[in-house]
Amino acid sequence: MSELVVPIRRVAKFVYILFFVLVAQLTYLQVVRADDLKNDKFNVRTVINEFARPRGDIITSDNQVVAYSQPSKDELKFQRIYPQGPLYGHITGFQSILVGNTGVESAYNSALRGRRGEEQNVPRVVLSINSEIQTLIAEQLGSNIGAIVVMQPSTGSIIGMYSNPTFDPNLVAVHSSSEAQKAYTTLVQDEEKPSVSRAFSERYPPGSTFKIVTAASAIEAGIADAEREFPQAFSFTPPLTDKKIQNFGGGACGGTLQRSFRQSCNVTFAKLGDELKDNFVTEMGKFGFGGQLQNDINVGQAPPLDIEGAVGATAPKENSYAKDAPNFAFAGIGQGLVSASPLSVALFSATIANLGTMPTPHVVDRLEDANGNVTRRIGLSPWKENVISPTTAASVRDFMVDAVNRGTGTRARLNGIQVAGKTGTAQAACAPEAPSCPPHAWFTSFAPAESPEYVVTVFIQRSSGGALSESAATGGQLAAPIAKAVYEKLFALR
Amino acid sequence: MTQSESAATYKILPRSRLRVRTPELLLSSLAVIITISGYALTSLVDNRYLPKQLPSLLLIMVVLIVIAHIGVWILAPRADATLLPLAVFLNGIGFVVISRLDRDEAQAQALWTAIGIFAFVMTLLFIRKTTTLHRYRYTFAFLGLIAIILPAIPGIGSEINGARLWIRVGSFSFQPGEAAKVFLTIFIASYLTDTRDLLARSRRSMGQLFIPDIKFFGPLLVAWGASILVMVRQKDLGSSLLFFAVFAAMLYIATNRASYLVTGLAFFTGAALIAYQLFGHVQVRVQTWLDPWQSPQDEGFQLLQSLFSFGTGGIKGTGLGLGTPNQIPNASTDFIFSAIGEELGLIGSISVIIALILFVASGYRIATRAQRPFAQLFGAGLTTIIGIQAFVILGGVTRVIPLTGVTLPFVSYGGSSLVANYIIVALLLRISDETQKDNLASGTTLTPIESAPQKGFQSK
Repeated sequence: MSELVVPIRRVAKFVYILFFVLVAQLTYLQVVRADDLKNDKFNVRTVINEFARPRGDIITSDNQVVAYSQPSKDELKFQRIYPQGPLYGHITGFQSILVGNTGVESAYNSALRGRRGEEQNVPRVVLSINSEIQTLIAEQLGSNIGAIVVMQPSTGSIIGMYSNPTFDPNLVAVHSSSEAQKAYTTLVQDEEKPSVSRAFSERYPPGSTFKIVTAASAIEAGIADAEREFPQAFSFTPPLTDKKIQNFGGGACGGTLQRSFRQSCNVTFAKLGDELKDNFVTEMGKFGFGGQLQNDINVGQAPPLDIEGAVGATAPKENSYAKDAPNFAFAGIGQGLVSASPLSVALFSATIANLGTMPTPHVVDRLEDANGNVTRRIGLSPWKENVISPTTAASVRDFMVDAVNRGTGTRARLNGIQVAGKTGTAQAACAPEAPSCPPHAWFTSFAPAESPEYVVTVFIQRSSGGALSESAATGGQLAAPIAKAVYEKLFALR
Repeated sequence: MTQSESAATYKILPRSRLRVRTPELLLSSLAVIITISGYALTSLVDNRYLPKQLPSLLLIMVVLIVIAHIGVWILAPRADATLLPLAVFLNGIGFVVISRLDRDEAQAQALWTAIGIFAFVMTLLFIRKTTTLHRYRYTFAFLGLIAIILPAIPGIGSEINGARLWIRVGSFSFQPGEAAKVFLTIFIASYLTDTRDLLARSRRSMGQLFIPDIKFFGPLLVAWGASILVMVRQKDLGSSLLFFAVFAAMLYIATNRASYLVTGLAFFTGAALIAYQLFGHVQVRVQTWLDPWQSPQDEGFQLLQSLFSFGTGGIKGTGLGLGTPNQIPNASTDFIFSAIGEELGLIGSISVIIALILFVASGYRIATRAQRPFAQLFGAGLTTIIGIQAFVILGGVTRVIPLTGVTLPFVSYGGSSLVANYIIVALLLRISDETQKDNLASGTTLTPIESAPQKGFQSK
């Protein structure tokens, strides 16, 4: 036997070791890491496979189809169609191979895509949204920039949610990647941000609607009750500043807490914010305002909406009263460091309506199979319980009833049904070069006040009327009548 | 069963040319069945009926296998019976996946397979003794260098995917580097056979380290260095790595001195560091290997898609034609193994590796059993080419080592590679047959089948 045999065998062994390394790595990739790799966000295979199968419809609670799949002739075998165009854009989102899915298309993807081999039995997603309410709120908002949220306070079911401007998901869902890219670029570059829902993805100063939280905080903290008297005053000057907080319109106001609430008296609520001191942050924290520092802002946990993109509400920093007292007075009237999405405002209104329980908001009601059998019902436990005591909630509810019956919210008053509500006219952050910027008009409410069925929150960021006089651009003038129209429709449908 | 029967036949008619190579034929038939079934499956995904080309494909495959089989039967009747079926199996799996990725490429691959089988028979026909190769070593060295330099010459060479590896004549492109690896292995094996005693014995001592005498080592180093430089310039890192490894392995085998391996490793590390400093594309490869997620849409894209293929395939795979391996750029060439991993799963990818291990094991067995040193060294060199080349690309696509583009032997789409690999099979079979002939002449009564289990070095 030649002397070469031994080294050949050694080389052979070395090569076998290399192959065993490959076997080990393959096992690692195809068994250990298989799921991670399969679900990696850059892995588009799963998505491509999804396009090759019919996808479930998305329908409203009253059976209007808002998304369906249609066979297409290109290599992605099914084209997603949104027959209602922009009306449900922020809710359904879109199915896109280019930028991924958004909205319900993303959140309920695993339900919608169905199972391979079960093409005859594609499931469908039923929204809690009612098409008539959705159409109405879009009409009511018209060309105003803003958003409306209609919710069932007991369940958190969202019956209508619309934000203007919106976008047409069909444009991004097209299969042609050049067209889709163009539409997507146009969409994200638009300065009005039509792709972003003002209803749940953006924060604004809640203005006087926040007096609901201030009043509840003061009662909970034991520093005020409905009967506590506040002096009539033109302004309140917080410590550490000489900047005066004035009443809306410049007049004097005061009296009991209930009267101050009804008249939306800034002086009283600024004073309450100042008196609450650091407790104020703790109390508003129970409503979801603040909790965690992010980029030096005290942001609360985002409402657990079932579709992506909800943002949390902000508050002054914890224990910052000593060096930042003025912001506690400003917070008392929903200005300064306090900001919230219309959804967050709807949620604290729902908490009053539920006497202390904050629901988990959701846009999907249930999943059904092709025969209409319910496979899953989105029945979610409340987001926060015992936010405030039932007695505190009842007091604030009575304030809200009073505000609608004889205060700033009279334009939301309904015949036969008691509405509880609060107006808000918030100073908006203003671009430096702008001569003046119109305030945000708010109205948040629920009805019937004694056994609430609906919460309606109207937010008008910028009125389409352009340069309205300051007294015309108020929550009471602009937003309350819209809420009234929504309630009329809601109770007519019932 | 069949094995012992045919072994018995061997004993009765030891010198007869009319022995039936039953195991080879049966194994080849198995490879044909797997290929045809796979091809039918990929077609059934899109259509509800069997492809029209199926009977003609079956016929072509059977004809090619019969030609190859008869070729071996007549020209190398005592040769190893496993290499050809393994090559046909790997070739067939590759063909199925290529046909699933790109029908035009599949047609070209079928044509190249025919050319490969033709080259296989021609090699057996014209190379009747390994001594012929030994004799013309300088001619082969010259041909090998020419083949390496050719693509770098403007007007002849053409660049595909950033590497100048091809020569183009009309619409026909060919990768002469594939031929070069066979030619240069002939030369190296031959040169080392002549000088191995000198190389092994003469050395200067420098402290603890023994360095071989430059007088004997020199010509080899020059030839080797030149070929590597040219390849690095042509951005063909995979081939450079392959040459390094095969050369080091052959030098080690010839001398049985680990010091050569240490020196080789030192050289390799040095060359790798220099290449990393000098060439941007080498840096990109290494960084992509370290973290493909850093640039998921550009540099890291291809490797990530490959990893996703394996992950998506999982254990069972998506099924032939049911995955989306088209996501990986170059899925039919460098990344064909990822496509296999996705659609056939871990079961499929490990099967391919097992086939490669069996092929390499047969190759080394042929080398260890050969009588003449040249045949041993040459057989080991050829086998190492297949083994290391497979590891370079498989390790690359599975992120064991940085990715360098070489074909997966027999599996990848690519004519030059396929033809060169069939020639390697023919040369290994020639060594195998020659060994048996020598054994018979010297009165040893070993038969290829009988001796295999006892002498297999895996069992050690």
